[in-house]
Amino acid sequence: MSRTNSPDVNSSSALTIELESCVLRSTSGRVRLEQTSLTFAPGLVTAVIGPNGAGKSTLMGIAAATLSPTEGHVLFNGNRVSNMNARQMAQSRAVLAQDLSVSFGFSVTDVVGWGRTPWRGTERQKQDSTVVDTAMHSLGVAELADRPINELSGGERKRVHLARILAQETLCVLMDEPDSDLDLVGLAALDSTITSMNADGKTMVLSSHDIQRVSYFADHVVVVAEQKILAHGSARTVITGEVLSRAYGAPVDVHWGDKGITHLSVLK
Amino acid sequence: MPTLRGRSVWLFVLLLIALVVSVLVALFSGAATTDSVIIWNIRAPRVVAAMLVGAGLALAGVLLQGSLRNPLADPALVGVSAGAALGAVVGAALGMGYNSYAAAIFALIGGLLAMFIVVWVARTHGRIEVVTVLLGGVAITAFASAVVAILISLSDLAGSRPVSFWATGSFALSNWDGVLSMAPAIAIGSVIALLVAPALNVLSLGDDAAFASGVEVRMTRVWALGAAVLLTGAGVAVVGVIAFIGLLVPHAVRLLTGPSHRALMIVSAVAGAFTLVAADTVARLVVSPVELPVGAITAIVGAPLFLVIVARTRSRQGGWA
Repeated sequence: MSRTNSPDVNSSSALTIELESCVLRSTSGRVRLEQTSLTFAPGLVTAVIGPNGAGKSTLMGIAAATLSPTEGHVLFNGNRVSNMNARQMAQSRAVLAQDLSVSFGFSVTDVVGWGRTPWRGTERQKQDSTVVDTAMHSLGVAELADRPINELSGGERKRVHLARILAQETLCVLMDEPDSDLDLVGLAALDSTITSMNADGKTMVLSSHDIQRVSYFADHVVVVAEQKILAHGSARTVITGEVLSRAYGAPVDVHWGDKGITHLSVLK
Repeated sequence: MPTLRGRSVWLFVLLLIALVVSVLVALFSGAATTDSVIIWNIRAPRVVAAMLVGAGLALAGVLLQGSLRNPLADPALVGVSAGAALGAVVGAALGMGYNSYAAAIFALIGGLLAMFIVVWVARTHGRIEVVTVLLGGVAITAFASAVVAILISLSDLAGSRPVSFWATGSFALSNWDGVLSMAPAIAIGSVIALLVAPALNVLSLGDDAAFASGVEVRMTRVWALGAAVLLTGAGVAVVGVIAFIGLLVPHAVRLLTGPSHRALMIVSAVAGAFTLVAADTVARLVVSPVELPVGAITAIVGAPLFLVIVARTRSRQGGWA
């Protein structure tokens, strides 16, 4: 379908993101991520958790290739991202950042349509209007189509950006704290979006502070603390009182039920 | 994807009619209206120059505002115009007086240097701070204007174009040579502008999100800013610095067409051409036979409106973070 120079990235049914000995230092020399090697399991939901300032966003940025590591390499299905252009990467992965501001008064349809940018000039461009339409309907923003996005509420705005990311039709979606400012209904809509994207075979990576909620749909968990990865693996083996106590520097009590965490608290 | 829709088409047609009317008024008003030599050799090149410069400045404004994601950018405010004026005067000082084509090339080099310096100063962590761009523009304009004044005081340079010509702009010295010297740069700049328009739309998401959507952010910005210099610089060599057209025309047009860049560019180009032809006719006729500098007319209207936009932008952002 796609006409890209690295067909192996997009012809696969899932995207595997690998970090090979990645290090990121800021220009002042401060370490933002210590040496990290990690593979995000294809087709699964991976949650990145950890305290504020631990390096979650940095790890997400490097995995999404919006941040370039000072050392090491990032690979999408075995190809180094440093050999790929913006368009090839955008055909492989979509990103929901924390900052969702849009300058000027663009409409909801405009913003969702930008998700189609990597497919301009390809066969897939023909499906642009159908894909945009479907994405807007499945996120429930179709009736907002002509409204300027800056006039919407925070929750509506997030749904519009989720529709944009859905319209990008990628094998992988990375979301940095997608649940940060959503209410109860917004969270439910987000979680069902994540689940349905994952059911389509997409590799999902998301960071969150809501460990208990995330435990109900995350297959894998990466715990980040003090600029390095403390633990990673299947959710049940990683989210334990011991790991969380070390990550947050306070004793944490965790109880797992059949489907997810039933109780989570910091002990006094 | 349609480039012009509904309201934009009507606006485009209305502005085109207004432009034709303003051109006819400009050609056939004032003294000696029956003298074909005056009309063809003096007024026609002047009107064409005003159209080209007006369209160029408006497009440059769209490009600067879109690529910097801020409605406060204008080629004169960011220092590109003053840099181009300095380039043209230095070119005349190095060569043998004023030559339209050499002046255009030197002006483009000056404008490009000014653009580069301003962006370089305003870069922080791979982003460009617009407030710093504007402050850099203040510094560059002050410096360039001073050097222009010194060079002109030292000798009769730049084809007896006085300091005031460079500072406030005038179409009084426009001729067909001048028109031909600016046309190629403005044509090339316009084509680049239309080509980067879709990427500028996506750039409204911010650099990271635009990149994640498949836009080569840095290249888009280089093309957009380079095209803004092409659209501004060559015109400055012929008519001096005209401020606020590049700021106000896109701003007003955006309210009517919406922010989508291709429609905004097409309508702004016609609106800019019309505005400058009309402003020049006012400058020429309002206290006839004395002629006012057209840059003074645009500044008298433009500066207060600029303050209004500054206040609105500031309150919307909650300060200059």
